Amino acid sequence: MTRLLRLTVALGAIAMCLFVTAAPASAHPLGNFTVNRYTGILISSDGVEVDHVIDLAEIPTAQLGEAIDDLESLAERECETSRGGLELTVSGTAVPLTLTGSSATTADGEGGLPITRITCGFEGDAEIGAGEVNFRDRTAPESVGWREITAVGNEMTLTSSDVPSESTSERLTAYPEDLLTSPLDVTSAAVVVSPGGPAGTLPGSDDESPSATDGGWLSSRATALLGDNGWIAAGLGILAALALGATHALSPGHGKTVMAFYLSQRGDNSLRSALAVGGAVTAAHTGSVLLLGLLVSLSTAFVPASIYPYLTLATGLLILGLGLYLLVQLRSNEGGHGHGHGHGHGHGHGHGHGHGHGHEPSQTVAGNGTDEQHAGGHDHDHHTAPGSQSTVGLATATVPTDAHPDPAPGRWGVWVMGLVGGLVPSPSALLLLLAAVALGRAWFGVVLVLAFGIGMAVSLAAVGLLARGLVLRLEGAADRRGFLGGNVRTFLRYGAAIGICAVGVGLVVRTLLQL
Amino acid sequence: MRRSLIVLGIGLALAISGGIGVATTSEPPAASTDPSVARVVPDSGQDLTATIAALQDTLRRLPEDDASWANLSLAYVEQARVTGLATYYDKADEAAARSLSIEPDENFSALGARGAIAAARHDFAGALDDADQALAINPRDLTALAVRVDALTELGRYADQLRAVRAADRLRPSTTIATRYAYAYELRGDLDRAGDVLQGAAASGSLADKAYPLTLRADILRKQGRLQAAGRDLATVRQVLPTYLPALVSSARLQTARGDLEGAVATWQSVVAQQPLPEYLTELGELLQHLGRADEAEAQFAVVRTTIELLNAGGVGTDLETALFEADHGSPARAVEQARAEWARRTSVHVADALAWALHRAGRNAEALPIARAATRLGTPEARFWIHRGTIEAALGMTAEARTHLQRGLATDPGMSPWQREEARSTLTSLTVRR
Repeated sequence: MTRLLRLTVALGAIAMCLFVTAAPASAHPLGNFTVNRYTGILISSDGVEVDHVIDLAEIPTAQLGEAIDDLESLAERECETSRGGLELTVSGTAVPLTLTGSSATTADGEGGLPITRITCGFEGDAEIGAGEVNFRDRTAPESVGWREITAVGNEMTLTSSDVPSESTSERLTAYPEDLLTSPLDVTSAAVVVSPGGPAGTLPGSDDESPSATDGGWLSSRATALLGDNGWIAAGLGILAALALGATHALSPGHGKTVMAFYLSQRGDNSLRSALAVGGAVTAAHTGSVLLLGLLVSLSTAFVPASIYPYLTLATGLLILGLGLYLLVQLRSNEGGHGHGHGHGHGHGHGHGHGHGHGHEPSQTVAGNGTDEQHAGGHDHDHHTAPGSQSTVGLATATVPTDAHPDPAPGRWGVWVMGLVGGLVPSPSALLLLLAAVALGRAWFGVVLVLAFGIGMAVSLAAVGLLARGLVLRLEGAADRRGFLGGNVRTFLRYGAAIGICAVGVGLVVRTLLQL
Repeated sequence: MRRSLIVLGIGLALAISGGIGVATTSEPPAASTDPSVARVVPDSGQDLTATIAALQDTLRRLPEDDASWANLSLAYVEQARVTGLATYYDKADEAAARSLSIEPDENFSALGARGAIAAARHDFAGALDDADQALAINPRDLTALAVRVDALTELGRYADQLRAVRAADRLRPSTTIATRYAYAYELRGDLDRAGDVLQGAAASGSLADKAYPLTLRADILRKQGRLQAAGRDLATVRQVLPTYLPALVSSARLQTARGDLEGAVATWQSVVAQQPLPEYLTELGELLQHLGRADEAEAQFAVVRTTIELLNAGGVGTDLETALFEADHGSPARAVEQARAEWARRTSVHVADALAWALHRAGRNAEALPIARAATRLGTPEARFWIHRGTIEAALGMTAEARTHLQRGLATDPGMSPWQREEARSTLTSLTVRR
């Protein structure tokens, strides 16, 4: 157990070293006389939308002089000037751009001096079928600064593109400061499009995706690791994924409490149970991330964030079901007459759960969850019947647990635990997968997600085993002192089952309130 | 102005030297013979961006390769010079530090790179120290040889400078050293020999290699009054590198010398659009002031003031150029303070000139005179030095000396700021009237 704990800590430390090396941003990371420009291009069948951002550091802002007092007309003028420098051709024909919107803001730079950010929106009307779209940024050709272009298709597929679809600098808001990456200087884009494809949006227009919180640095770093073909980089990537998974599992809401309760219920084969549960967590998490990844890459309109509450709800229901099942099992072990009761309950929950998902656009994932849960529910019924051997009496509670006679329900418990720990896919893992897919290394992405799941599982199992050790020690002490007339274990078991129910109810209620 | 060109040039020359140095080192203790190590040879048809990408890639796989770190540092210094992105200096600094932490002994390449960065940041004592350390390990390292010459020049140790540049020329004759040799002659007033040396340097190498020596020669030809020849040199450079900044600066001054002031304004405006450095902004501002466009001039000066504010906020001591700006367009008292602090660190003719002029503007002409003499001690053909000295002498009533020196200044460089020349001319007239 301590070894597991140490491993977890070590993995966490590795993750820290790998991912928390970015220095805090200074006044202007690219130097105070830079003019930085970003252009995002969205290609639809009826035209092109262009998002152009200009980030002026302190000295270029000073060069604007008094123009800065009237931000509105400044934005309009600068955008109009930039328009002349942005050249767009579709299949060789120049497409004139029209200004659709402009805005400017100032912020404090070094020494309290202002810096300026100007955002321009352009549109170019053109019939775009299959063919080439070329873009060139000729604005202020020799000015010093970051230059970046991204291109996305809207119901168009980019069959080839020499620019990425995501902004490395998050539209000039977060410049990477890695020693081994150069500032971008991209002033042209050549894209080949064909009609058809998912709906698309410009980078920065959907800030609500799950990647919004930590996506920037994580994805850039993950991409940096993924982009490298070396074995060392691959090994590092896997290690990092392991460590990320381990640390991710330690953040709140991953069923650690449930895991602890559950493992404290198991007999002496708890290490095996822990390993089994770990395996189940890994399998469930990998499966759900892969499914979600598939959905995300199939349709750009699909927003992963929207299904998270439902997955959490499913987890809560699963936990509740597990708790009730354990209770039922305990009752049946006592006398067997509570059996039918518990049975009905499990079923009812499975049903409600399925309903919740029915309303969802993301039916495949949800359906999957439901199926598994249903299967679980069914098998509850199925196995509870043979599992209701009344060989275990209340009075002899301490003895027979050592030779726990019903492995079958245990196995299903393991799967339910796996789902509890792994049903909700981690956004970080999803990002890793998507980054790998974007680089054409999908298999490596799957390996990384697997590693991530293993990391989570190790972490969860370690915490669960630790908690179990504690519970067993307490139990031993209580037994020796003769608390509760020697029925400490029984009480603990009931306590654990009720505790799991409580956690499940809590999770369900919280999620429902949020929905 | 000359100095800023030189500082820009240091980068070019250093990076060339870095590449050559790594390529042909006689004693390679830092594994620099490794064929996988990309070499940095700028402006040689080599794609610097690709070289940097290759080095970055190598280092992602072999993060302990000190020679690649040192090379990457030199490449970043070169990229900082080419793009003007200050962030590359920070990266170069970190890369050199990484190289040195992996291989703290015998690592002359990283020491040379560190020296080059120190020089670019105007820490010339530090640059000299690094260069000396590198040369103690490898006396033939071109980067270190060049940094050493530059540091001695900027520190005002001219006797050492001449010895160092001669020794460097014997050890490693190259364009890198030739440009410095020429500058040593130029500082001492021997424009003919400086021009010859640059011509020799420009005769060899690719067209892109010639850009820098040709630009320097255009400056010398302009000072000699050979405006047509200067124009030809700059046209050659423009053909190869249309947006090469030093050539653009030189063109602006040539246009001023020819009297095409409107053309000069346009050229200066494209210079400051590329790199709004204080010295360029000041020169454009003074030109606009001369043309009676006070508002536009004031706008340029406002940007210089912002730059000074920024430098102060960043904790960087203000520069020589900003001291001269303060003397003419700001607070002479602050100018004296800044120039005096610089004078305590180094005693080059440029620092002397800035201090003397600041003292004059602050009304302390008696103090200014010996320092103005120090500024002209080498006979440097820098119009400003002589005009400043003559103006100080005029203020002290030394009419004969004042007239000689003002006339010498006005005869030296027709490309000099017309506003400054105007002032000098009126001082000269007042001397004549007084007589």
